[in-house]
Amino acid sequence: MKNRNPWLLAIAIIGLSITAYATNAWSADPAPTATAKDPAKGGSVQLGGTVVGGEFVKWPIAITAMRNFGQQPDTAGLGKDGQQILTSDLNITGVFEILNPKSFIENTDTAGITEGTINFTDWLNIGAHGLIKGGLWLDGEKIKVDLRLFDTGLQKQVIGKEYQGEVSQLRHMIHRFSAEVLSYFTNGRLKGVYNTQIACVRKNGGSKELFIMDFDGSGGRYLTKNKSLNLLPSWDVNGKRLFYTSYISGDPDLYSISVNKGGKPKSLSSFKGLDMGAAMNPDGTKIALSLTKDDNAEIYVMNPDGSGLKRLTTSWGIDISPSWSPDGKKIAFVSNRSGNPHVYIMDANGDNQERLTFVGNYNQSPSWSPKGDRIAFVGRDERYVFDIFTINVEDRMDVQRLTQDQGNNENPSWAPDGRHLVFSSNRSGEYKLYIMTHDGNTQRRITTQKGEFTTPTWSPWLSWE
Amino acid sequence: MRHTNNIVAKAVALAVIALLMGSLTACKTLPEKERKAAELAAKSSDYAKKCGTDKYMGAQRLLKEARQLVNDKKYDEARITFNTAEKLFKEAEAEAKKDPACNKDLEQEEDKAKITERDINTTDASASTGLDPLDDPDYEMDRITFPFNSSELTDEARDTLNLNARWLTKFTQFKVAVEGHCDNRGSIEYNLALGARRAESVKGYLIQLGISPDRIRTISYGEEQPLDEANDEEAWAKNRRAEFNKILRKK
Repeated sequence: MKNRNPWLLAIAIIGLSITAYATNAWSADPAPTATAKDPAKGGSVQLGGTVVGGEFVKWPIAITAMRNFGQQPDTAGLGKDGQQILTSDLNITGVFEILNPKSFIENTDTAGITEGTINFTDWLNIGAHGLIKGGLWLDGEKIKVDLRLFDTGLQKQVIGKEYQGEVSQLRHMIHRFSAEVLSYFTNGRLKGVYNTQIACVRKNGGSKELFIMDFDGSGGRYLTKNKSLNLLPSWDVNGKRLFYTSYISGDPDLYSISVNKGGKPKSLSSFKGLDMGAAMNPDGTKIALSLTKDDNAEIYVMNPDGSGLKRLTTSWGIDISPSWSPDGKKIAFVSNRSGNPHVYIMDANGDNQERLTFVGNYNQSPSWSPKGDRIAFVGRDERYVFDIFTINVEDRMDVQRLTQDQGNNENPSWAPDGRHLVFSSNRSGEYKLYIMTHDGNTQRRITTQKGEFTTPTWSPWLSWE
Repeated sequence: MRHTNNIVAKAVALAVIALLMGSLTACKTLPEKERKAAELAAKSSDYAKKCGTDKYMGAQRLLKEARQLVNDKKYDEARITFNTAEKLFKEAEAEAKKDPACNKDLEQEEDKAKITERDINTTDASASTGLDPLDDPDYEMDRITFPFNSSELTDEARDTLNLNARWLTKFTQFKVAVEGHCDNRGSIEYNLALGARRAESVKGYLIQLGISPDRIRTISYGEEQPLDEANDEEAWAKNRRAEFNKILRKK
């Protein structure tokens, strides 16, 4: 193979590194390694959720529909809804294999949901390591839900939770239980992304508005409706406000808006020319941003109140898209100082600027993983298609391709657990949002509404309330 | 032909009456909407233009008069004259289409005309109305295009900018807003930065040509306002551009 084409070389390197990667795939991600809890402790079944001979084995789990134990009939089919939400919640973790309900031996319409009424052999026989059962009681618009996780190897109930609230909060209750289930199987190492949200830009006719939804795409709503261009949202560290660039004044300026309370946007910076790409550092004391006020786009930092502005880059080229390392000591960014855009890193004070990506010739949109070891970015391949890659910050030959042959895939943003990414893809013909695990698996579309969805940004962990 | 001459005479008379009436109401805003409508009608009058009908020529004269009126700041009169010109262009075109004598040589060209329709719409008005831009305060400065991922000015772009600069030098009552635009490949943020660079690159060249920096404002729209929404080379080439909007300076 000639080395004329850097992408071919890159693919070869990726191919080589996959072999190496598979054996330590989970070492960067301590959760489901052999140190994680064996769900079938004391049982005879094989280890679940572990790397066995280079192959990752998922925990098989059975989820039954919630039974209605109340007086009021479950005409809306909430019991089935609950089963579906649980299935979806546990599927996206990438560490569970959800067993097909058709394989269930037990008659789940009539079976009990307590430890004493369960014949665990029926569940062990179909390979289930875990079993989730639940009951519900309706009272007008109110609902009470009783959810239980059984460890079939131990033959006992390991989690039991009761939730009460409005029927409209059922999804939320189930998310909370899913987090408990994941935590149990991973010894508390994983808590899931159930209490997170995703903000993005939704095209609406000629305008672009900020739009926000739960991690699974449910509960979407507009945050702005000013018929202007509102672009490039990013979260503050508390998950309370979003920074974004808006043309509402005629000039592209930076604003922040409260996520829950709404209210008037606050001006963050409004220099002549572009004000964009605000990224808050992990301890919330600085905001990095790009401005064109002195030159072509350069990266600056300032205090959250806009004071103390300091310029970090001075190259002749474009310097944009700052993304902080989780320890707040470094910033990844995009520069075209070498001619084409590439991902660079520098110290938080602008020192030691160095190029990170040497594969391909057009790399953008870096997003530093919450674990700090890898940076996701968008690369253009030799066919001029955009795909998502991750690069190991220490070992820069270790580049992994996460998307391929499915349209353009852009704007990756990490979930706070470092195990998931959200991105936009036009694989369906129009840009929609998708989520996937950090290795490119379990890709699923989360926006089903009309219109284009772009530049998603995953929130930090939010409070459950 | 005599018949059409009569119509032109009537139309001109109507316009004059309308002018007198119009001058009674004071309105200081530029008749931009009317001007654009008239220019669009002029551009769409292919048959009449080719055929050179009297009505078309009359409409042309009115359009020129209207522009002069804008120059003289007689906006109300200009507004009415633009309206009349627009009406006349449309009539001339409708009549020319029905006239077999006019149709003959255009029929073969019709297909070609359809194919290049998008281009016609993007050429400046004075090209089709035959006015020298440097005599025309209403001249809309031509946009320029850029190569992929570049803010460098091509020779063709420089030619256009030379003309735009000469126009700006003559018509000092205007400032110019230079808009930088990109095609939709690459990140939204990168394209915003690239659009800013394109606009700045144009500004730098205009300054070299003697235009005062305080008359030039730049803004980037990145990939947000494509001229052509298609996803192909032709559309991308069209969308990588700088546009010029003239702004009347406040006194």
